[in-house]
Amino acid sequence: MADLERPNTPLDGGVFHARSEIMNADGVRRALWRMSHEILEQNRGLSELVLVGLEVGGVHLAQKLAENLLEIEKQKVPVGTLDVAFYRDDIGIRQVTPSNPTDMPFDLTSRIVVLVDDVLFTGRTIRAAMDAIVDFGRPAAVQLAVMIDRGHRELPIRPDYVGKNVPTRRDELVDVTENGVLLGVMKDAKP
Amino acid sequence: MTENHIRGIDDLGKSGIEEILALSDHFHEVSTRRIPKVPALRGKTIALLFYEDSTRTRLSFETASKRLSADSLNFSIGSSSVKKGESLRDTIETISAMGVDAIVVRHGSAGVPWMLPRWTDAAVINAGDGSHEHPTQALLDCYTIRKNLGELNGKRIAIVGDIKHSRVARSNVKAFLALGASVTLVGPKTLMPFNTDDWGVETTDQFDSVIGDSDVLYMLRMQLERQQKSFVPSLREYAKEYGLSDSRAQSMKPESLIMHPGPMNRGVEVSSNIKEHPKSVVNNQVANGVIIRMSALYYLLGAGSITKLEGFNDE
Amino acid sequence: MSELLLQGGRVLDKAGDRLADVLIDDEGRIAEIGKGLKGKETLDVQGKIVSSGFVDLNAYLGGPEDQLSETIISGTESAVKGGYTAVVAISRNPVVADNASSVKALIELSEEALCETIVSGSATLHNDAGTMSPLGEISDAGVKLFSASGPPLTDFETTRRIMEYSQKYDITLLYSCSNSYLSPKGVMNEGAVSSQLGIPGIPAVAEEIEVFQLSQLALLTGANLHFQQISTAKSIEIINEAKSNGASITCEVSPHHISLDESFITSFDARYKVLPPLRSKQEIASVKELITSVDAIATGHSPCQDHLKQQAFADAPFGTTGLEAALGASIMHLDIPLKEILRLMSWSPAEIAGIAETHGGDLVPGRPANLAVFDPEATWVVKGDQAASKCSVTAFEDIELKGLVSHTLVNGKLVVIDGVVQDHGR
Repeated sequence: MADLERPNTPLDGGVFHARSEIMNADGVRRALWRMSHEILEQNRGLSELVLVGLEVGGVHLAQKLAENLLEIEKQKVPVGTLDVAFYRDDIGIRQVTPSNPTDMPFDLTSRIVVLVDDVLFTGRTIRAAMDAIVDFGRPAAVQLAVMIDRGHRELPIRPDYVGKNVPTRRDELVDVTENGVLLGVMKDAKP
Repeated sequence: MTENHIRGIDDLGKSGIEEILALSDHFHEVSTRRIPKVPALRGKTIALLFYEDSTRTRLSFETASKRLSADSLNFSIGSSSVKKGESLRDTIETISAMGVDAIVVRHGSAGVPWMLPRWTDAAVINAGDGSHEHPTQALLDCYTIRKNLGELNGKRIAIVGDIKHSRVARSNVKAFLALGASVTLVGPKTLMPFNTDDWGVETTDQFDSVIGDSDVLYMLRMQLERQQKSFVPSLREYAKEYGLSDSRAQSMKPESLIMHPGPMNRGVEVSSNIKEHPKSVVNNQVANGVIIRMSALYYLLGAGSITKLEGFNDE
Repeated sequence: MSELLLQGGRVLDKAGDRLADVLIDDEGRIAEIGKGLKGKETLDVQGKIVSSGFVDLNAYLGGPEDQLSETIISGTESAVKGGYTAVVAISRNPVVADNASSVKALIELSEEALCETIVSGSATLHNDAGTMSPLGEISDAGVKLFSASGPPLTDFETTRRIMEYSQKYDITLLYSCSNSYLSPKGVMNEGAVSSQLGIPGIPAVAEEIEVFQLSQLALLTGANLHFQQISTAKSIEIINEAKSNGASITCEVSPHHISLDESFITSFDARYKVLPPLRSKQEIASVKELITSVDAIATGHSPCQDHLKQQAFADAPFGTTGLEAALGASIMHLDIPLKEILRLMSWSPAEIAGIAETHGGDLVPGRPANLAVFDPEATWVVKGDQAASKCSVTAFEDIELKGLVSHTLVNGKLVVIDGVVQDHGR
C-alpha cells in the first residue's frame, strides 16, 4: 500500500505508511447514512439538534451528516465547527497549535449537541470539546458521533454513534477521509 | 531555558509574524464569545514588569493573560527603586524566583528586554523599550491592516511624525517590510533618526507628497515636550506641516486607512475629529491589542513553536 | 632585596632589540646588560621581551570616599598585572584634588600602591567649576598634571585664564573632550547603529569641536595641554595641525577605542558604555592610520561596582577597566612594530607624566629597574572574573588579545611573577 505524504504532518514529522484499508469510500458513505438515521431515531427529530464538527477531522463528517439529515428529513441542521486546541490538557507538554478558527454562530443553550469527530482514541479531545461547548451555552444534552472508535480510552467517555470499532495498537495511526479509512504507522519520524 | 522571546520583530521574522497573525484569528473568535476566555494557559504565571507607566498597554496584557486563564503578577516599578540601588539584575532574579513563565517588560531604556535572559529562564515580551521597539504594537497594526486591506504585500505605508524617538516606528518598519509592504518615513529632519541607510525605507519631509499614494497613513504621537527642545518651532507649525487635517484626509486614496498608536493629541498630529473619520481604524487597533497579546502569550507559552500540528486526527 | 638576573630575554628599548641578560642590583637598579651575566637569583625569561614598564596617563583608582569601585591597592594590582610600573591617578567627581591639603592626602594614600602612582590635581574648584583652583599651591605639593575639563566649553574666558596662569608652574592641563552640549542624553556613538537601536547618540563632531577650540586656545596661550581619550581621526588631525603650528599639545587614545566598535552595543550590554563612545569600524580604521602621530595609549581605566553595569544601558555609568588588557589590545589591533607600541605605552607617556628619569626610556645601568616582561605572541581571552581590579565587568570580556605580561618589576622588585600579582603583605 502506498505511503501518504501529507502537507501537514505531526510535529515529529515522518510519512504515513498505510498497512491496511479498514473501510473503503462506500463503507464510509454507508456508515454515515446509518449514523444519520441513528441520530434521527435517537433524538426523535431534528428540532433541537446542532452538529459540531471538531477541527479538523470532524468537520467534513459533520457536514456530510447534515447533508444526509437534510435529504432524509428535508430539514436543515445547524453545523458549527470547534477547535479545541485552547482547551487541551497537553498545552506546554507538546506543541498545541490550533488549525482553523472555531465557527459557532449560535447559542447552544437547551440544544442537543452532537459532537462529530473522525477517530475516538484516548478521549482527551472530547474532554476538551465538552469544556469548550459549555462556553457557548448550556446544552440540553451532548452526544458523540465518531467514524472510528479505536479503543485505548484514558477517560470515561463513550460514543453514541460509531462508524466502526477497530482494534488498534497504540503506535498505529488511523486516517479517515471520504475515500476510506486507513490504518498504518508513521515512518521516519524524528525521535 | 527558552530561546523563545518577543523582544523585537527580528525575534519573530516573517514566519513568526504570520504565526501570530494566524493565532489572532482564533483569539478574535474567542473574543466574540459570550465567555471570551479559554483555559489555554492555566497554571502559567506572567509577570508584568512596568518601569514606565503605561496603563493602556499594561491593561491590555493583563486582560490577555486573564482571557488565557494565566495568572498575572503586576510589578510597577518607578524609577525610585532604581535609585534605591536595586539593579535590574536583582529585580529580574527576584521575579524569576517566584516562578514566572513569561515576563512582559516595559522600560524607558532601549535594550532591557535583551538583557533579561541573562538572569531568567522566562520568556520575555517587550512592551516597549525606550525609543527602540514595541513589537506587540507592530503586530496589532499588521493585524489591523490585514483585516481591513486584505494583506500588506505591495501596500504603501507612510509613517508620519517623530520617527527619531518612536519605538512604534522602529518595530513597524521591520514588521511592515517583512510582510512585503513598502514604507516611507515622513517628518522634519529634527525628528528623523540620524541614519536610516540600512532600513530599507524612503524618507521625506514633504507630507503632502505621499498622501495620495499611501494605502496607510500611520500618524505617530507627537510628544508635546519636543517643542521645548526645538525639535519643532511650535506645535502649531508642526500641525500645519505634518498634521493630518480634514483636507489632507480628503486627498487620500479611496481604499486607505488612517492609523495611530494612541493616545492621540487631537489638534496636533491629527485634527480633532480624525479618529471618527471613515478611514480611521484607530478603534480597531485598540480592540486588536488584547487579541494580539493573547496570541503573543500563547505563541510563547502554548504553541511552543511555529510548526503547524494538524493532519492525522487520530484523536 | 637581592641581586636578580633576568636571563635569556630580548631587551627592547629605543636603541633597538637584542638578546641580553639584565642584572638588577640589590638596590633595585639595573646593574648590567649583556650576555652571559650571572646573578644570585635567576629568572628565566627566554622568548620574552624585557622592556621599560608601561606608564598609564589615565586611570581611576578609587579614592578616600570610593573604596568600592577600586582602591589604590586593587587598582595598582591591576596596573602591575598589565605591566604598568607607573600610573597617573585621575580623580573622578566628587573626589577632587582642588587644594593642596587634599592633594597631600591623596599622595599619602598613594604610598600604599604597588607601583608608582602619580596624583593629578584639579584645575578648577570642586564646587565651582568656573573658578580656578590654587594651581601654585597644588603644584608645590608635587602635582604636575591637572584635570581641566571643569569649566563648561562655553566658558572660554576661565579656560583661557587657567591656560595662561598654568604656565608659571610648568604644569600640563588634561582635557577630556566629552562635553554633552550636542547630545545631552547621548550614550553611544551617533550613527547607523544608534539610529537602529533608538539610543541617543553622541556625534563624533562633538569631540572634534571641543578639541579644535581647546587647541586654538593652547596656541593663543602657549599652555601645555594633554587630550585624554581621543576617539576620532579628525580630532587627531586637528591636534596635529595645532602641533605643527607650535602648540604644546599631546594626546592619548585608549585600548578599547582602537579595538572595540559600536556594533558591540547591539547586545545592549552596558560593559560597552564608555565615554567617548565606541566608534564605528570605519572611524577606528582611520584612527589606527594616524596612530604614529598619537603620543600615548592610555587606558582610561574606569572601574565601577559590578552591579552598576547590570542596569539598563542608559542607566549604567560610563567606563571600562583597561589596565590588564591594554598591551594585548594594542598588539592585537595595531599593525605597528613593538617598538612603536612601547613608545605609546611607556616611553612617551613617561615624558608626558614628567617621570622619564625613572620610567620609560632606555634600559641602561644605573636606572631603577621598572620593567615589564611580556610575550608579544601569546594570545589569550579576557575573563573579567580573573581580573585583579575590583571591577570584574570589562568591555574586553571574551575578547581575544595578543601579548601577555608575565613579570613586572617595580624598582627591582618582582611584583608580578608568571602573571600572578605577588603577595605584598597588605
